[in-house]
Amino acid sequence: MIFKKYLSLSRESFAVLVSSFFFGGFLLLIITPTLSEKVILLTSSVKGEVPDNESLVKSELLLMDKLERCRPAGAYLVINTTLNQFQLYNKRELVREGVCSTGSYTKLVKSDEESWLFKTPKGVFRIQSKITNPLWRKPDWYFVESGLPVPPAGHPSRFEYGVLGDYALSLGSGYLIHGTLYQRFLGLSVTHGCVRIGDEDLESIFKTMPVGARVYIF
Amino acid sequence: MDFPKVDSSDSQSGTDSTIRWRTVCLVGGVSVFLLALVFLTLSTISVFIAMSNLNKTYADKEFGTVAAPSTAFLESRLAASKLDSVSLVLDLPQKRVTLEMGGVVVYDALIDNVKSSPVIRKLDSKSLVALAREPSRIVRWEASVEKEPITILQAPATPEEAEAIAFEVPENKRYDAFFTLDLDSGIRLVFTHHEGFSFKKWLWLTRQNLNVITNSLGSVFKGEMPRYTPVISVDLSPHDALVIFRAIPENGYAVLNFTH
Repeated sequence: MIFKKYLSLSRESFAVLVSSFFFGGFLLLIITPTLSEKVILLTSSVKGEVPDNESLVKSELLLMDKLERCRPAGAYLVINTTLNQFQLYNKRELVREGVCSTGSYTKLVKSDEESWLFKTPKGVFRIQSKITNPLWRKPDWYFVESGLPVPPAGHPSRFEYGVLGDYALSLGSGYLIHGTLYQRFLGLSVTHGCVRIGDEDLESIFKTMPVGARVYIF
Repeated sequence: MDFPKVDSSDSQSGTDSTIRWRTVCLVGGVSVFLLALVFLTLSTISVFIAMSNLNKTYADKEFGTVAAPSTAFLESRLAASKLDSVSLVLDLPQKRVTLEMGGVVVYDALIDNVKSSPVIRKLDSKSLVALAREPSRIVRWEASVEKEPITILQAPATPEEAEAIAFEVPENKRYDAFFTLDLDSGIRLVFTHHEGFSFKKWLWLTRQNLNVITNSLGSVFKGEMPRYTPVISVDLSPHDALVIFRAIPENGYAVLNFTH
């Protein structure tokens, strides 16, 4: 047997030998992903042809111009739902930034069949309409969340003034950018999907953003 | 390990069992070492195969015109601008990560540290340009935090119960977001952050590395070549990492700009 001479080693020497195989093997297993890819550094990289400078500059300027034209020339609003911050741009300049409140990601469960997820939709939207002194039409979830019986549609208890602040801008599908009575919650994810903004910021946004202006929510 | 002596004055059966025990240990040790050597060899071959595949896929791709990496990057951003969802734009030479929607930069972050796999650094220039010339689709992701931190709230039965819930002031939680994005181009992006030593980060990276080793070993045991994935590791500030992870759609696109 080829191992015969190793089998008759002293106890200590045999322990060192076997341990070396085991630990060496395990060490090699662990460093293999790093070691194996380092081998590639020994090879030389292939350089391809690069276009001449003049045509390069021309095509890059053209592409940069096309990209720049993607940015609205007028007013647009950017809303960061993770940090609950907004930036208002006009004529490609940042004109105002501040805190807002967006969807809480709370799932209100009434029953197996009925539940609501309070999240602010992400994507590119356009201002559908602008409303001064907006009236809040309370949806069903308001009553469920308040532990109240849900009244029929059109019931007077569904309508309330003053809750949404002085202005609201509609994004469509029932989502609004509006004011709030809960100013202390600005900067936190607490809403039912709408975007809440502080009074002064809201006024500035309302005055700067025309109907049709883009709102980027991410 | 306590290895019994062979040349002691044990009985014949005792000596036999000692030899058996030593043989098992020796065969086991040698097997582990040989397996490691085979693993290293196959892994090294798989790195070369991965590079050759990337070169084959991208170097021969016909775009009509020859482009420089910077032009390819702009072309890719322009292609991504046709989408309304968020695209991740990774500009490695400038050490910047941006989020773009419809061609508009909505978030901009500085990269603290970036590291690319040697394969990317050794890729054919033409392949590198071709890779950067089209947005890559995110095909798989893994993260230390949830994409959507949903909390379930059972509807209160009474107004009093509802009032008690309403008075719970929400807090701004701090999340440690580490995440990987696997792109259809075969590249993996690993995003982490560091603020001093982070045990969570160490744990997460160790888990990722162990996954790579166990998956590769699994392939070796099945008689297959281990699968090698080139990686670009990016360190960001904690809140940038969280914002970027939460903003990118599950099957979103990434635009990369890299040079040798």
